Amino acid sequence: MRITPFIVIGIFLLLMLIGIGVDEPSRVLKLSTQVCLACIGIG
Amino acid sequence: MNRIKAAVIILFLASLITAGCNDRPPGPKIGALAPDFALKDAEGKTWRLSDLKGQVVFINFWATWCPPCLQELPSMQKLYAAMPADQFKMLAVLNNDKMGPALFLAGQKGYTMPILDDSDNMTGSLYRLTGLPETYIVDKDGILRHKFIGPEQWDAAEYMDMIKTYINREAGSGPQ
Amino acid sequence: MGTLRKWVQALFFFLSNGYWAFPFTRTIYQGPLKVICAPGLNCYSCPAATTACPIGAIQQLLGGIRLTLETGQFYVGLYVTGALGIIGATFGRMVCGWACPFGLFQELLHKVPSPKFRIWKNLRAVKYGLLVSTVVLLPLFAVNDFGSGSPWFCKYICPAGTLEAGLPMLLMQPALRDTLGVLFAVKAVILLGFTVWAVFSSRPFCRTACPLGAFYALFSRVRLVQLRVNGSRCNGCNACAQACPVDVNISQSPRHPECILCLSCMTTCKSGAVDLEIGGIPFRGASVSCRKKIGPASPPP
Repeated sequence: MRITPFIVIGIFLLLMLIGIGVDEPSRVLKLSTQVCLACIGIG
Repeated sequence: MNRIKAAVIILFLASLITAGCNDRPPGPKIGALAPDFALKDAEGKTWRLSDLKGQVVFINFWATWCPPCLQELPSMQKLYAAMPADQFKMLAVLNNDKMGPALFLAGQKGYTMPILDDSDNMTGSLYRLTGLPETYIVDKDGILRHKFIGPEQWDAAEYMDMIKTYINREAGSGPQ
Repeated sequence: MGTLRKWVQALFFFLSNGYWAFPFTRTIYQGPLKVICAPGLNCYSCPAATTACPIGAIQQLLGGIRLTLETGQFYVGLYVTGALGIIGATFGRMVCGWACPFGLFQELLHKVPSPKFRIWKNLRAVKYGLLVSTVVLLPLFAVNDFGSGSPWFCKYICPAGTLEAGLPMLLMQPALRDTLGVLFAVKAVILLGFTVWAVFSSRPFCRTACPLGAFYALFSRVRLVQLRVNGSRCNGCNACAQACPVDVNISQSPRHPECILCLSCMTTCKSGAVDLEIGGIPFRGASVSCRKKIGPASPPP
């Protein structure tokens, strides 16, 4: 049994939860529901 | 056999996710009446497009998280300042974003055009936005004349002249 | 195992790109699923995309970081980095081999009959450079007058975006064709380059340029799912190295950062020396099912 992967997963889980705590998913949703024209080389 | 299985699964998945979308009203058409909307600005004043007949209306959809939108705002402000306020309205429709940061930015940069709150994307989906920024020019009869996807240099002579042409055209004078 | 992987790849392709109403609506999917980051590289401006591209999202968040902090918001990419890290620490580059639609695209291209060439090993380092520069540093520091940065990787390089979003959007929205410029031409050449290269070499984009692959590769030593080579069973026949689509000799370095855990080596190894382990515990089911198909394990010499 290796412990390291679980520690690393735990750290990133914490980061993700903080991100959710500051409402970042709503910003990600807004970004991803619009076509980013500059991103795809148009406009 | 495997191919049939694959096709079935593909159709199933596609229908599953596609099922979530519903029929939307037809999008805006050049040469037709621009879809009407009513949006509030920072002071709580409601701006209704149909109330603005007799004036040329410049509708710009933007958001603070959209770098190309921020890039065209200074030239929009110049265009706004250069046109007669009683015949030209510029509406900066904040789409899918929070008003707080937008007003902060406008204050910091000295933008004076009304910023309208479309944080719930109701008007954005009515206009079937492809991506931000998007700009619509509506003439004095409420007819949609131009649609621009992506940022433009709005204080360039060609756009200034274009807006002036629509301002100088009397309402009800037909398409040309 | 190969068949299972193809099914999983197809499943993830359709999970990431499940919105097939776009030819009628002429817009991209705008529903709530897009809050989820896709594990693989899948452009969220793709009309069919149902999830967010983690690499695209992180660049846009970092590009807007100044304004967001100035206005008391805290969108600095913790959610996206966290989600990516969880996937990375669990599966690592197994995502590349099993769940990435653009990986699948390259794999299918490689099936086109042609002479096949290896990729110069030093090119592997380029993707780490792209991750650090175009995904993190340039969006953060190369800012315009408003203090906002561009998504450099998406904007100037990403061939997945050109393929999945650029070309379909041009077909769906003819008005966009007027706005095309040098930038799109450059991106089209990059896409064409990788498409042709993928016919002659296996997964060239994954191995040389993918920042998401580079990020997942950072977890190669610590991730939960690992390959294990049983030295006493290995007869040194090098069949695994021959079968490897990313030119890794798994018998020498089972935790190689390039390994995409496609398990070709496990399927190929006649002596059953390659095993999958999860959290240090051998997962025998996989290798046993492989050996059943190949026949009994030959005894070590």
